[in-house]
Parts: sequence; C-alpha cells; structure tokens
Amino acid sequence: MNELRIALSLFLLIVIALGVGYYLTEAELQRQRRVGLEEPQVSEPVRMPPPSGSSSREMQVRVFFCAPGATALGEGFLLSEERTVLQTGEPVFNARQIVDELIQGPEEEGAAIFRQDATIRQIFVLEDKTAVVDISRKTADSLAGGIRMELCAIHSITRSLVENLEEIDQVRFLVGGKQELTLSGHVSIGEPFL
Amino acid sequence: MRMFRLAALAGWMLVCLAPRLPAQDPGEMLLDLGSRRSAVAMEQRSGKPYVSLKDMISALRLEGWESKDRFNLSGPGGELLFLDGRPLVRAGVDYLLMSSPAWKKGPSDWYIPEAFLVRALAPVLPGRFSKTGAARYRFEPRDLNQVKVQVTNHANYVRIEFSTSRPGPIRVHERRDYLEVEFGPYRVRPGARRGTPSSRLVSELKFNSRDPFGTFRIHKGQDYRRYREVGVADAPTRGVEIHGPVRRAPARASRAVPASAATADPAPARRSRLTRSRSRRESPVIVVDPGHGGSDSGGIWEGDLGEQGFVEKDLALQFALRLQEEFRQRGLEMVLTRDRDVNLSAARRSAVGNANRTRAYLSLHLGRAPDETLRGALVYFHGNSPVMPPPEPEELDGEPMVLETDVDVDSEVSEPESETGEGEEEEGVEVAAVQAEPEPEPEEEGKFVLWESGQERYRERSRELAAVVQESLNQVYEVENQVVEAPLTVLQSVAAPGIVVEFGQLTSSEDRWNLTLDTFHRRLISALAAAVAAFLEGPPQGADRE
Repeated sequence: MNELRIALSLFLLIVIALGVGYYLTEAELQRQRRVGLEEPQVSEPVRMPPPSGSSSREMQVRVFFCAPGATALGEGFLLSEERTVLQTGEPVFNARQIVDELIQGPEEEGAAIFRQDATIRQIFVLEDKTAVVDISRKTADSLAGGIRMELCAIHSITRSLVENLEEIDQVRFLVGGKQELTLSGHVSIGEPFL
Repeated sequence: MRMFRLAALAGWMLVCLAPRLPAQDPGEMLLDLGSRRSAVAMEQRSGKPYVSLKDMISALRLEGWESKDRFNLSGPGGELLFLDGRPLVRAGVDYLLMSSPAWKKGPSDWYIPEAFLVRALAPVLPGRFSKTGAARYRFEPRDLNQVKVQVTNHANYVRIEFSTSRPGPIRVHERRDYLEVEFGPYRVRPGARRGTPSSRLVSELKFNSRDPFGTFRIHKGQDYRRYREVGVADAPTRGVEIHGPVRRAPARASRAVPASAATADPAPARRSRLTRSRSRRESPVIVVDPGHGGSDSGGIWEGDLGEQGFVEKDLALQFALRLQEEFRQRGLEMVLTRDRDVNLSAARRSAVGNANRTRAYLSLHLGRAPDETLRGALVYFHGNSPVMPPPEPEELDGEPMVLETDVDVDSEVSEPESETGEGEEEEGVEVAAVQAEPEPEPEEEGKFVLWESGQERYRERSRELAAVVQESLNQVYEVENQVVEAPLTVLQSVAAPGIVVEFGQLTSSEDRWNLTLDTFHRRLISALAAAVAAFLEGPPQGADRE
C-alpha cells in the first residue's frame, strides 16, 4: 500500500513539475513575442550633468532659426538669436544645450522648426570635428511634407553648432540611431553638412 | 436484414451526393465569388497548409508587388506587408502575428498559412470574406463601383474612358478577341455611356455581368492593332486607347516606328509605356514623378472650419495626370513614374527617367514651411546647399565620379544592387524598360556613370530648367521666389535636367485656397508646361560637360 502511495506521490510531483515547467516556458515565449512586436527601444538621451561648482561658467551662443518667408538658401535664410548657456568644458554637453535652445524656438522673428516635444536622441563629437546628431524618428517625421522644413532643420542645427563650438566643423545626421538616406523623405543626409 | 437496409441506404446517399461534391484537387483551395469559383494553389510546408498569394490577388482583384524579401498586398481597406521567413505582418500601423512564417517559394511566388487567411484579408477587402468549409472560402463584395463610359473617336484610335465612383486602378487583360477591363474588388454597376466606338477598331463594347465583379469587354474590330492604358484629367478616371495600323508621315519616314514593328505584329503584347516611349523619338520624353504615394502620404493638411483638406500624394498625382494631358496637347510625350497610389523608392523613380532617356525630369510635390508667410511655388535642383561658408571651389565644381573605360561602349547608368532606399516598399515598374538598350548621346559615349552620380553632369542644365520653371510659376502666384539648390535624393540619380517642383505651400492659407480652384490649377499646369516646352526648345542639350 505504501509503495502505491509513494508511486502516486511521485507521479503527482512529476505532473506538477511538468505543469510548472510548461507554464514558465509558455510565459517566456509570450513575453518574447510581445517584445518582438514592440518598437525598438529608444535609448535615453544623454542628460547634461549639473555644473561642477566653480568650474562652470556661462557662455553666449548664437542660435540660428529659419527666416520667415526666405526662399533662397544663403545669407538671409537663417536668423540668429543670442542665448546664454553653461560652458561645461565638454563639447557634447555644450552642443546639447545649443540644440535644446534651438528646439525651444525663437523669441523674436525667426520661425520655429521643431515642436516643443522634439527629441534629439544623442549627440556625439568625433575626433575629426564631426558632430553626429541623432534625431528621433518621431521628430524627423514631424518635418515631413516639405523640403524647406528639412533644410531649415538641417541648416539651423548645423550652423548653430559650427558657429559656436570650435570643436565642430561639420555635422552628420542620424535618424532613430541609423544612417538614413534622407532626413524626412527629401533632403539627403548621406554626407555631413558644413 | 435491417443492417443490410441501412447499409444500402447509406450507399445510395453516397452515390447521390458524390456528383454534387466539388471536384477539389487536394493541392488547391476553392474560392467562391458569387456564381464563379476560383481555384487557389495550396502547398504543405512543415505540415501546415499554405495558400498562394498570387492566386488570391488575381482572384480577388487586389494588388501585390514584391521587393526582395518583402511582399506587399494592397486592397481598398489597406495594405499588408509580409516578410519572407517571418511570421510578423505589418497591417497599416499595426502588426499581426501569424501562426507560422510567410514563405517565398520563388520570385513573386509567395505563400501564407491558410489559418491566417481570414484574419489577414478581411481588413483589406471591401466585403465579407469567410471560410465556408475545409479549404473553401467565399467573398461577397459589398461596395458598388459605378462606372461611366465615355467614348471618343480619333483619326486612328478610339479612346474609351471609364469614370469610377471608387478609387483604384483598372486592370486590362488582352484575350484573343477582346480586352477585359476589371475595376478592383467592387461590384461594378454600369453607368451612363456616351459615344459609340468606331466599328473598325472596336466591334462591340459591352458590360459583362457574368463576371462576379462585373467587367467591360472591348471586342476587337478588324483594324485593331494594339491598346494602351491612359490616365486622364481626374484621378478616378482611367482609359484605354484602341489603336489601328500606324500611319507613317512621309516627312518623318526615317524616324517613325518601322512599319514591320508596328503592323506585322498580329497580337502585340502589352508593353509598358516606358518601353513604348523609347521607340518614338519624334518628341522629347518628359518624365513626371508625382511625389510620395502608397503608405507615404507626404504632407497632409487636415482642413478645418469648412476648409478643404489636402493629401500631398493625391494632389501630386492629380496634378501630374492633368499635366500629361497638357503636354499631349502641346505634342510632347510625357511619362509618369506612377499613375496610381503606390510606393516607389527614389531609385526606382530615377530609373523611369533614365530608362526613357528623358529630356526633362520633374518631381511634383507640395511644400510645407515652418512659417505661413512663404507662399507660391518653389523649384529645387540637386546640389550642395551653400548656406554655410561655401566649400573650396574645387569641391563644388570638381569632376563628377566617372569611370573611364577603354572599350567603346554605350553610355550606361548602372543601377545599384541594393537601392530600396529607406526600407520603403516599391511598386515594380517593368524591368524591361529599365534594362532597355541605351541610346547614347554624343557627349556620353564611352563612359559609365555611377548610378548615384547621374545628376552631377546635369547640374547646370537643371539650374536652367529650375530658373525657367520658377519664373513661369512666379507669374501665376505673383511672387518672387528663387530657385533653391539642395541635396535631394529623388534627383540624385537622374541622368537628365531634373527639378523638384513644389507647386504650392500647404502652410499658406492663400495657396490652399488657390489649390481648390480648378481655374488656378489650369493656369499652373499651363505655365509649367509652357516653361518646360520653352526649355526643351532651347539650344543646349545633353550634359553640362563630358
């Protein structure tokens, strides 16, 4: 009789173990399927560190916006406004502040290019003085529909960075972390902008 | 005895029912479409039944196109994107998961799991699609498509235009005695008919109600030689031209299409407009690219307070179709990169221009600016944007990347192996046209040009074309806009003078108002066509330099 009980208990244990194993495997598979369906995770943008006490100081920068109504590229296409940012000693963080000021929009007559919720995922500065500006896909899509919108975005960022930071000579653009053919369907971003 | 009777009864029932059972091949699925039944190929893969997408598309009058390891299926309700070897399906902005992966058995021969059929096709079809039995389905079209017919007789051809109440392309199939015109997955209701076709070319034009959807049949007359599909003024209108024997004008006898090619072919195959255009060199070919298309809508302006809304891809296509008519009236031949709502990559658009050896390439768009003060048309040409301090002169005016060859070969523009662009889906234009034999210009002989450098040799000519068009459109809008040089992917590979024309700004309320007016459209189209015609009449031709 005892042997029968033991055998029955063992059998039940095996069944329970198999059940739990199956449940866990299925839960993991479902989790993987869900992850597969989700959009790629966007990495958190780099945040500027707080100024390090006495070593931090302010610097004046010129932020460029598109001039309303201007059609031809060249002088007059962009307007500049002066802004004050913290000089961190790190070109990446300085660049980040300048672009953030640009996203905030003009205070005078320039035209706002980006929406207030625009996201710049990352900014890198390479050794050859190339800044890599990684614009989120959503922000790039918000520029869709006009060549001028894309040109304004590209040239306002490029000029704002190159004019203010001697560590940057040219700017290359990524969208959603990738090298794309165009910023938002029209303007080629295969080459860096001077 | 009782058992014997029961067995006899069962046998008799089997005998009676047997002829009524469908004679179904185990390797096919049956699709009931009203009175007609279509067979759809099935395959077994990993123990699961798979259904041929090609057959489903053909039976249900849908559209499908392949791009490498992707397959797009498009219907009135939306679009599905299948990926080879993956169970994930994109349906608009959502994703669906199939029980097993899509299967590309061969080129353009795709299969999907049968278990996924109803779930996949129901959203894109305008009707009820249901499973009625084992490997048996039924589709009942819900929406009506009223089709009006307008017949116009010309000297050597008959044009039959179909105005449909539903959007979407028509499809023409050539049979031995007639042409069959289909109108997508709708139930066709024939509307008013105007005009009677010349019996010499069309012996009879009638509605075929026996087709489950309804089609029109154009019966060939004794002088019938060939047909061509045409797009006319309004987007929902499509037409078919029925052509008779080619008449050769004596003055142009040496340049006309050889009679043997035009008349000796008893049943000319349906050729793409791209290929056809190459054989007619009497007038320059202008290629017009209606921007965006398919899932890429371009700029959208959602009208409010009674204002009309705009979708760039639709307006660009309508504008292009009307422009085609305007060019035709001026005796200029124009080819479209797309004549319906489909995705096209930039490389494929350029390929249409290059295959036709176009004299002028226009990409039509609507603009959107950060501010509302900018109005009017803006014309762009490809190049560097000199906003920043200009680069060294040698960088701007450097020699284009050309690969010199020792062999005396015709000029070619080599298409890159991988050019699908930003992962966008594309409509397949006929490859024959892209690979058509080159017809070298004197200045291009003996050189290969890299595909992505196609535009470099035409920058100055493009600038001239842009200036002429900009000035002409400025007069219509009464503005003084200037041409803009920008690095534009859509023009980069075009081996001809090419420009992007934004024929209005969606962000300008004045432009939006103007673009709702038919008279204004006509003025714009006329001005644009006149400017291009003037440019083509000018003396310099070909590339800027060798």
